[in-house]
Amino acid sequence: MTVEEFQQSFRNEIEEIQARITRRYSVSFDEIAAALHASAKKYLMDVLNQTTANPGPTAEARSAARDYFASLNLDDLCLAIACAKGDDAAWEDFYRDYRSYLINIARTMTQDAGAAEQLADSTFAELYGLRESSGARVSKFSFYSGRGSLRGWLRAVVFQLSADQHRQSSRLVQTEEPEDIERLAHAIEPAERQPTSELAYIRERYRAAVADSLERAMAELEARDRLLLAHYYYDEMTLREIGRMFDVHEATISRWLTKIQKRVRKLVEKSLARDHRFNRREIAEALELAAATLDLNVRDYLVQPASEGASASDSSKARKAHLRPSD
Amino acid sequence: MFRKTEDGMIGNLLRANRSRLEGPAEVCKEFDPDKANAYIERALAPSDRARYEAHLAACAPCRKSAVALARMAEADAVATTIESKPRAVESGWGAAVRRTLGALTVPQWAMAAAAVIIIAISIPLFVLRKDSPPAQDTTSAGTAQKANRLADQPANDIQTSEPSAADFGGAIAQQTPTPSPARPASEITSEQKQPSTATTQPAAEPATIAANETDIKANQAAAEKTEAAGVTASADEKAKTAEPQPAPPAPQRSVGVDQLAKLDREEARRVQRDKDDSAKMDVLKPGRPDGGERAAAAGAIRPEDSVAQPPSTPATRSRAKGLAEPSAISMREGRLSDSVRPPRTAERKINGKKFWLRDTDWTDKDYNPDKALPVVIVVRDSDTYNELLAKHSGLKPYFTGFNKNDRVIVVYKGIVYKLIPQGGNN
Repeated sequence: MTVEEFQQSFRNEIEEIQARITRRYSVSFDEIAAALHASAKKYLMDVLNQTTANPGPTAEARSAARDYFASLNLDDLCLAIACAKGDDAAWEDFYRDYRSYLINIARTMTQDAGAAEQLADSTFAELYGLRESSGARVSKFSFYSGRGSLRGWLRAVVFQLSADQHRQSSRLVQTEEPEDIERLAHAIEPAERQPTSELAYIRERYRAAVADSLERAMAELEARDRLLLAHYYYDEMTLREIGRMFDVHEATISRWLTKIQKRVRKLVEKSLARDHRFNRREIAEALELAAATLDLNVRDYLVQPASEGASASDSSKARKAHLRPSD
Repeated sequence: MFRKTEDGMIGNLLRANRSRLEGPAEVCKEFDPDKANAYIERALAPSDRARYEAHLAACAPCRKSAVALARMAEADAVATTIESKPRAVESGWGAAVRRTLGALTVPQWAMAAAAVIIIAISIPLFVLRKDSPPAQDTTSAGTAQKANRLADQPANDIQTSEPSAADFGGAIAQQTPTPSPARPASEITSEQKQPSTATTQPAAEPATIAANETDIKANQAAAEKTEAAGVTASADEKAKTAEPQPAPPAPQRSVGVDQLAKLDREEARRVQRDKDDSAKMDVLKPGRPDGGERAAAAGAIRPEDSVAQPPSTPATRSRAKGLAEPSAISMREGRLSDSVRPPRTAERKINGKKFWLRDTDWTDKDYNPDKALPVVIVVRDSDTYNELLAKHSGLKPYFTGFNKNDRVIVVYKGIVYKLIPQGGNN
């Protein structure tokens, strides 16, 4: 759906939205419509597709669009549109309301006054749009959809720029990622580690089996479950912080994690029995050994997409059996 | 919470190699600030949210970015609360009262508190004066001052024709040679012709006793005074023997003394007691040669005590063990630190956390300025301070474990809290 089609289809809704904006600066109806179209294309694609297929938007589509527009931060969006087009009054307001905030974020991220100033400057440059694409100035503001707050969006933009700067400066001094080096070292290890005795052989067999089963188990988990495990075990987030991310109480997160762990254990044990022909005693010994030696890296298995490492049938079976954390 | 129900073995497997080195901070090429922020602010539709979570589960850089942004958003929310609170306080009567009361917590207002205490003490003086006969009221302007002066100058201003009281005091002085610094010898004039009383504190008492004539209580007060001055038991007995003595004739008075004559006995007695008390304080201050100086100094209130003392260190605390008064402990610590103890970094342990005194801040051992953690500045006793304590009870021991004027840096749940006193700069 083009901007014109969108404008034509949802004219009434756009006009309603326009009336709600506190200060419009020099932003025209067409410009607001264009910004809403870009936002809807990102977050309301299904509705737009339905509307394109039909001769006009259905009542449901209109309702969905109205709800979506109403959920946007309209004043922030209008300020962003005005700044993107270079409205002086809008930039004055932006400077007054957000300048010190931007500098504070930059300071928090860099922990260095000079670097913070540089980061803030480059952020302003991006926001103003010093870069040009096909002769037209591209302001970072044009990527703001109004879905979240402008303040939060600015925080994320500064974060992104900060990470980009950090990466660029890191590349100048680092030839190889330490993770890759470690992986190479790990790849050599099994070849070097010749089983010199029966015990060593058993240990290696157990370790490989548990690693394989864990990888399978992680692949069978739902994306949200893997995200929860990653937040708790690798991002060192507290239950409270995770709870805030998912908008639930920390006790709920605790229950979810307990359930996920039970499921991981069940899947691993099942895989050890099915794929590696381990009996109950061997399963217990293998898990105990793996937990004690702590030389497995489950993190790598966690970040793999769910489709990898497990067959489609296995995944569907697992999904049926799996009790969702939110249940 | 989760620890109780955690499967230890699976937990260990998941934690394995957690500390492995990671590459530099990265941002996924597909990182979308708009979507990330909408996700953190929970502004995404459920379907979009599920899709984004699936991406986060598979993309470690994006997940780390989301976690970092969520933490920053939380710190930002706390900071915004701090900024917005004072603005809200600016309006309304209740707010004005709170503001005033809040201002009273500023240490400088200790002076105001002292003024209130002085007023509270002076009110009974006025009440007592009101209870006196009207004739006294009319002439009592500055009576208290004059009475005090009279009590201080027993032999100068009161020109008694009867030397009996002075002789009496002199007798006491002869038996009690304890020197008193309360009154220098130069204050006593030669006209009094009582050289023996000039160098002794108890000499002041008999003159006052003479003014009160047969007042037994005044004599008892004099006896107490002599005790306080270190007078021996024999002197006490001597004072008691003065009780049955016949009342001396009314002394001839100067202009100032005429007004004193209108005071009733009660007031004179009170003046006497006040005088006694002040004399006691005077006697205690110089200390005793028998080693009691330290104890006296520890018990006495010094001007320095009104100023907040630096927090004590474990070593000095143990040294000062047994002293109930914090002011005494602080004073002793100060003395030790000035003279004996070599300078070293003070350390405190609160609720398992170690704090070091760096410059003026009690700094959490875990605090690392190079670590990019969100920082929240909290003004002590502010609304935000109270809200934080209500929200995070775990912060309470660290916030309340220091003096009100101390600046504290605490790292708690991935956030750095900088606690500053009211009126302090961050």
